[in-house]
Amino acid sequence: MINQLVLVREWHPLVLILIGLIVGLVVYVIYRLGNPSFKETRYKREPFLSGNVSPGESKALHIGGSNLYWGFTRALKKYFKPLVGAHTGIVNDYLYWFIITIAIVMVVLYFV
Amino acid sequence: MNIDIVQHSPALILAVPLLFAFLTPIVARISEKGRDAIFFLGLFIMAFFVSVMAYEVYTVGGWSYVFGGGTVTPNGTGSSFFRILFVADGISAMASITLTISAIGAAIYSYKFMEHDTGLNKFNTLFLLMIAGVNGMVLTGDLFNLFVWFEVASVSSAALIAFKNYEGEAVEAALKYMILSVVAGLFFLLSIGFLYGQYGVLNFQLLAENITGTNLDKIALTILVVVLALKAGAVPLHFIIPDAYSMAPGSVTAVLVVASQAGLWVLFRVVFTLYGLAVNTFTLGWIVIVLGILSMFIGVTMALVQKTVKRLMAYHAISQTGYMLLGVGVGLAVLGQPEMDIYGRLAMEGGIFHIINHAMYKGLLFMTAGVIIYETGKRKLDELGGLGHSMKWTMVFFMIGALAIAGIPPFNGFASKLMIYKSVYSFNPLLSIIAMVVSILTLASFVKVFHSIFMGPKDESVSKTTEAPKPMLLGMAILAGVVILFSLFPGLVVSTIVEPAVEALGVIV
Repeated sequence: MINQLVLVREWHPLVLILIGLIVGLVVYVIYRLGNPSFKETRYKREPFLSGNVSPGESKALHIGGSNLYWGFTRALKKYFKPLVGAHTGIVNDYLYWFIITIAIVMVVLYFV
Repeated sequence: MNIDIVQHSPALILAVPLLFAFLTPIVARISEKGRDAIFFLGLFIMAFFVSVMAYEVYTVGGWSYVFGGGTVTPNGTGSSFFRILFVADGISAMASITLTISAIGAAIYSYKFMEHDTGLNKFNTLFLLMIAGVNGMVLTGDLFNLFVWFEVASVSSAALIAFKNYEGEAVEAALKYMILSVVAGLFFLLSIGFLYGQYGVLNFQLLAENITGTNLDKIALTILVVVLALKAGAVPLHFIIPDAYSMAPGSVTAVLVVASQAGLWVLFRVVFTLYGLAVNTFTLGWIVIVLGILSMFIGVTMALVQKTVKRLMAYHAISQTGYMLLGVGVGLAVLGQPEMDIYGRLAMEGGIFHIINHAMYKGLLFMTAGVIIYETGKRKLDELGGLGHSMKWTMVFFMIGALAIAGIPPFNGFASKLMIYKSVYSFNPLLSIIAMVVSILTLASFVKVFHSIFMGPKDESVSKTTEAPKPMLLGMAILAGVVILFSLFPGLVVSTIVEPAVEALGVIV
């Protein structure tokens, strides 16, 4: 069967996990080969911000959901504006879509 | 005795939740703990009968069950011509298994999730009625009973969506859900009338033998396809899904996903088993494919701009429904073309495998969203953050669900999507590319959710939150366990439960 071709001959999740474990082991060995005298301090842990003082941990630094991908949605605003606008939340509109879809499918089934 | 249980299991799968649905409020008058015990007992007895039926279907084969015994005769002379029929086959077995796993996970989760709410007698009754309604939809062998179970599922679902009626939006969502369901149900009844008026029969088997593709048949088919696509939440009939999924209690949403999928199962029965080659399957297949592509793309792009966690997940549910429609639509479009038959079958297997995968990981994701709302009282992504510090198990469950829905190997979402990509590519490469792009956008969207909710500094609001209570963790762990199991052994799942479901679409046993 073709699904066996895809799933068994080409897709082996257990093999992938095994490879992951081997890679993990290699990473661990490299980690163990690191400098044993290293000691973690506050300054070693903080990101380098071009010499500016790190503001530390603050809620203000957390990028919230509506800020992520703002560039993506802004660049595609011509697509998103009518799309979001169509979701009016009015049940009458929901019913219009239902009737329109029935009409379209009926025409397609009759004439195509 | 065992033989009787096996034979009667399709009826018992429905009778048990119906009986216990009305038993729970009676027992609740004596003891609340007794009520909960009865509720779980009903679910586990139903699970037992689902297992019995599924085992018989997978080891011996399917059968038709007629209430009161007897057989169905094509010319209407049989004693059981108008009796209630159920079909135990690969489709009903797989759908019932999916529903049972989700329902048990959701019920355990509800035990703690709903404890602060009043009216739990009604909750248990409605929950069991919804399960009976969905099981009835997938088990029934005739159109009129399908309509009845469709209504049972819709009414109980609407009541459950409105269960937290102190949140005004929940009532509004339920009202919309009910209006759409009633209108769709009436259209559904109209289409049944068209078919009954012509052929004088209602059961699938006899209708399939008689349907010739008349104009009335096409009108009935159009209505059935659109009504069932609405139930499944396909674009452009999806509008009620974000409203309903986002406002229903977390545990209910996990089962609502499966209730919507019942629309897909029935749709597949209608287009393959009922109509089959009596209509232009290429055109019909493309109609399903277009609905699938619209659902995938519009669902995922709408999810990207959402600001509340459950509404975002609801749009992803619409998007994932698109994959199922795409896979089965391709299977339908190539029906009767021997050179493409093998790809069509693989596409259908991918689409149907995706249904059970989606029920598990989407149910899990809705439960994690429920935990977040339960612990913080917040739904907006902007108001959340840093919860990974205090809700580590919830975060792990969320990651399992998110990686699975995004189709990241080795999770089960990848296995079913791979089957869809490969087979659909042979049919039309562009469709496959769109499906892959949608998968990337899904990943992007869940990265946003993960970052918004679980990443960030540990501030005062975070330190007040705690990990989810144990019953809720157990409910999530059940679904996460199934996701992992399906991820590790996709070939076994396909050969055991997906292939019989695809075969069942050919003919009713």
